Amino acid sequence: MKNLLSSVAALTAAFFATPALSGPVLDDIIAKDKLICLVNPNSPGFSVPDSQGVFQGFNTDFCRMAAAAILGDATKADIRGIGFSDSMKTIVADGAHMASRSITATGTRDADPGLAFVATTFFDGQGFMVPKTLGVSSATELNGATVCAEDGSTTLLNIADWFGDRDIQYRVENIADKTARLEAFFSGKCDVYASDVTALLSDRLLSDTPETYTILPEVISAEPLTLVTQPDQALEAAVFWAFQVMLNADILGVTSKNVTAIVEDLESQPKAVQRLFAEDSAAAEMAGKLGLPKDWAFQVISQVGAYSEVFERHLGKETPFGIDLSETANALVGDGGQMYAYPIR
Amino acid sequence: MIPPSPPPPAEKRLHLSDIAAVGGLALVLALAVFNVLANMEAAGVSPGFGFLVREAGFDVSSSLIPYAPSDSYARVILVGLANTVFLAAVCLVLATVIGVVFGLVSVGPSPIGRALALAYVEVFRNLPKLLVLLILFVLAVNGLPHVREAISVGPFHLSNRSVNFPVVVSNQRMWFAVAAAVVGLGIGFLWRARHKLADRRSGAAETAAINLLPIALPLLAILVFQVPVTVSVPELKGFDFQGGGRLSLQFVVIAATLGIYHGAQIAEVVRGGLLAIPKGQTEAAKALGLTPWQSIRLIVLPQVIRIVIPPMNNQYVNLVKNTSIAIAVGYSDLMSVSGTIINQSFKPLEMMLITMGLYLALCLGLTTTFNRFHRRLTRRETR
Amino acid sequence: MNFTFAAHLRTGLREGFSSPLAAALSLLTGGLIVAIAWVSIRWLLLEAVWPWQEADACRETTGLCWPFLTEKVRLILFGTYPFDLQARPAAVSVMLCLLAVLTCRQMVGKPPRLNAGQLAAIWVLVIGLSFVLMGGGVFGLQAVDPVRWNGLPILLILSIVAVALAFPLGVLLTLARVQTSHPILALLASSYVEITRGVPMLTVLFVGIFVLPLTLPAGVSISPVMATLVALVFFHASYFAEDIRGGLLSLPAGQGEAANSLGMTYWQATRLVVLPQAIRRSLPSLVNSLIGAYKDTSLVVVVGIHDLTATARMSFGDPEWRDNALEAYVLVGLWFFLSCAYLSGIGRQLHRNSAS
Repeated sequence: MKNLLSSVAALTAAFFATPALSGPVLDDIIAKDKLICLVNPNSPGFSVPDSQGVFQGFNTDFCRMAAAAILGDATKADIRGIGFSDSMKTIVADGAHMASRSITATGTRDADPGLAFVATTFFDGQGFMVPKTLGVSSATELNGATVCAEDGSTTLLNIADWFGDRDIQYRVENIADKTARLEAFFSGKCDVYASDVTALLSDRLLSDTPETYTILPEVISAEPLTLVTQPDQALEAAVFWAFQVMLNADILGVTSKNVTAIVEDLESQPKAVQRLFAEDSAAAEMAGKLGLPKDWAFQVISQVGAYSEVFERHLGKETPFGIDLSETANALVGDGGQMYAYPIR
Repeated sequence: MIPPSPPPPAEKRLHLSDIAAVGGLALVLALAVFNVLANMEAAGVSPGFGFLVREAGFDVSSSLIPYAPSDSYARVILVGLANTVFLAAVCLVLATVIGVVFGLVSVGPSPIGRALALAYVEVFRNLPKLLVLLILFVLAVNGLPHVREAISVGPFHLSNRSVNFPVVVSNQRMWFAVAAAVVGLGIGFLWRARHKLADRRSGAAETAAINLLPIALPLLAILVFQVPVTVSVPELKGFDFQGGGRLSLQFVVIAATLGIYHGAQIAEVVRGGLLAIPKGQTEAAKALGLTPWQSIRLIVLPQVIRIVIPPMNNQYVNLVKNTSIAIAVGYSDLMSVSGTIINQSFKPLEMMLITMGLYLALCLGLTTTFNRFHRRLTRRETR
Repeated sequence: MNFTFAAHLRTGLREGFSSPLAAALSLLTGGLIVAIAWVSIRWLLLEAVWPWQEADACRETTGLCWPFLTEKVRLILFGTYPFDLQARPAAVSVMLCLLAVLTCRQMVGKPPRLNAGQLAAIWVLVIGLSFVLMGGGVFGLQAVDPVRWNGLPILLILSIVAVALAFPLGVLLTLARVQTSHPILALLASSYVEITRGVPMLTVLFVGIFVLPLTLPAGVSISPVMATLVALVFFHASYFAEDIRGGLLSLPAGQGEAANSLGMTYWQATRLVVLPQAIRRSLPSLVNSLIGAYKDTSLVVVVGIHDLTATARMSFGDPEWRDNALEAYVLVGLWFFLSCAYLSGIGRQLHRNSAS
């Protein structure tokens, strides 16, 4: 997939390369009064059309976040489901403003002039799944374990690197067929199942008793799934800082449910909360410079929510995916994850 | 066949329009090629087939020949081609068996059987093959039992993961048996050629003996050279069957889909062929004192085969082309492999030329074989 | 009525068990029919969860889940087309179906009788109107990107428009192939037809999606829907060309010669005498190709167009409904079965007409 993206992007970038100026794309969004955002057409939990044909899922909420921040209305996100290579072509060719579809940010991709990698919304990477009965809480305790992994994939190379570096002994069952591999794991033939964390999460559901399996916190390869926009300083800043607002809201305990009450009673709130929502706040000052609605931070939180809210809504414990956010790398840094909220001041 | 009529006479004039048409076409093609080259150069991709020797780097779901991701693109194309040919061969046999059975039933003595055969043909005539494939896939995954509760008939096992069956384990001495079979076939061939030359009819016993040679000789070789015949039988060990042969569920579902889908069409062809034989012929055969079996073998079958060969050829070519829908459920056939390569290497033009060329060669090869067969049959008739 | 049924049953039974072979066959196939019927009835009726029941009941049984269908039917029909505007794709679907039915009735000579000019005008009108309604952006209609043209309307557009454009191209290919005064042109046309008929449709779709955009000059782009449409047109044309050629070859030679001796030019003779007869003679096989083309349109899902099959997959992509794949596929299958059965009926009627 990486080769595909870079070649497609390079090709299309060469077709349609336009000099990156600050602002015109954001101006275009405001002029059209809609933000065209591309997602995967059928990716359960991340983007799937609901019964009314409207895309729902973790990734689509970041499209709605951008629309709420820029246009003040999350429903003005024109979310379109489109294949992977086509979505890259479409962005480069100015057919869409951004994409939120689990794209891994890599150096060569970001070096392409037609795409801007803005904010990582999901830290994916290769991880391990074990039965809870094993009583293991870290991959470093896996000495002597048997690992099920896809035959001939980079997964095996990553495992070899990671365990080799830590001097951990292990045995590998490399099975090419996915159902066979999963079955081997669920039936106890292997102790550990290795794959991308998002794949682990959905694969776990194929078990008869998903709740008896847990995903270890170690992620041994970096797959930062990142929002992509057209290169445009103003748009990039708007999307990046809208995402930071969602992270800051998590730290400050602001959610879509309590944000209205908090804003009505701003004086009694901590200074950091005031900096997000007050009339003369840092956020309001940013809005003036970027050309966003003055209350953009409020709109993002009230219409989309804080980051953990979005996560819980689509992938969390109450959903069929049943992921515990605090177990993943997507928890805040303070909670042992990798999500780091930049200061808004 | 109605002889082709001469085409409508055209005005004879200077072939200016001919030159213009061909020139125009050439111009469009040249423009397209120019654009392709310009676009590829702009993307930093150089045209050509050099990429075929580069490392493929991706894995396939199943392979008949040894393959690892570190092998070249050329090799993975070969893997895809082998998978397509294997799939096509299996589907061909399956569709023919299903088609002939239902074709016979549809003209058979049982009205219930006739109704069933007609309903079968009608249903699959009116459904897209992709949908049949997807429905069968859903049914197979959900409906078939878990591997530990596999449906077992003797050493054959069917589960929602795979079909497992016993295979003979190959060893060095096996070649004796193979050689013996080849010798047996060779003798039969030479014998027939000699007889054809002499134009002499042979006795039934003699023919039977010659026909049995390719089976008898290897058996003899196995006894004489003490070839160890070990059969690997699939056994449920741990979590899956170990040993024996294995066909993935994907393969089984695609084969079943194309077998059923084309079986319906072949049943129509067979039915048409059978109905085309006038009833008087079998009655005449009966009057001549031939048994029903003799009348079928000597009177009906030769005619039916001659009638159905052209439409069967058409069916088989379509079947080979339709194996490409395997891409939808992730079986690594030629189409799916070439799709992956296009995405990885960004060589759509080169890859599509290769893929279409290979499919064309497969279909042409099949048609040529069939035409030769047809010619031989019709020649025998006129002799 | 009852009496005749009983009589039929009696003769059927007598015939069905007239010989040991017939009896064995009847028992075997009868058993098969009963088994299939039992499984179907159990799924359709006995274990079904009815529309008025709670959706949760679907988890308890393996039968048909009506709540799933009532919940997802609009998603399956129109995909991600904006929900409030779905009257537009619905109108387009109805219009295109009516157009197809109208054309089929013309072929078998049923009223309303129209001449070729009128029919062509209706085609142009309906297809033009379809694109306007789907895409919007004019006459105050809200614009909808082709990416959102999903489900039934895109299936109908891709099959009907492709057929409409492929047919004239097929006629031209046939004419180029059978004429003798321009041998190079004839060679080109026949190699094109033979090559296209020797490769799977998917390869042609791949060429449309991957190669066609490359052949355009820098700065010009083509949407996947249009690229697919172009590929379909060029693919179907060669099948139609082969059918029409069959009709042309079955035409007595005298036809063209007579027209020629009347002083008609080549084009006059072709247009007024040869082609109409050739097309009429090739209608039965044309209808067969047409059914094939329509069914194969479902393959566009492989190149990322969201037709009915793709929206069916979307409908059970929803984690809440992930066990209802069969319901979605059966709904789509039912649509294909009914529409193809209608076309097959037309084909049979044409066969009868041409035989009599």
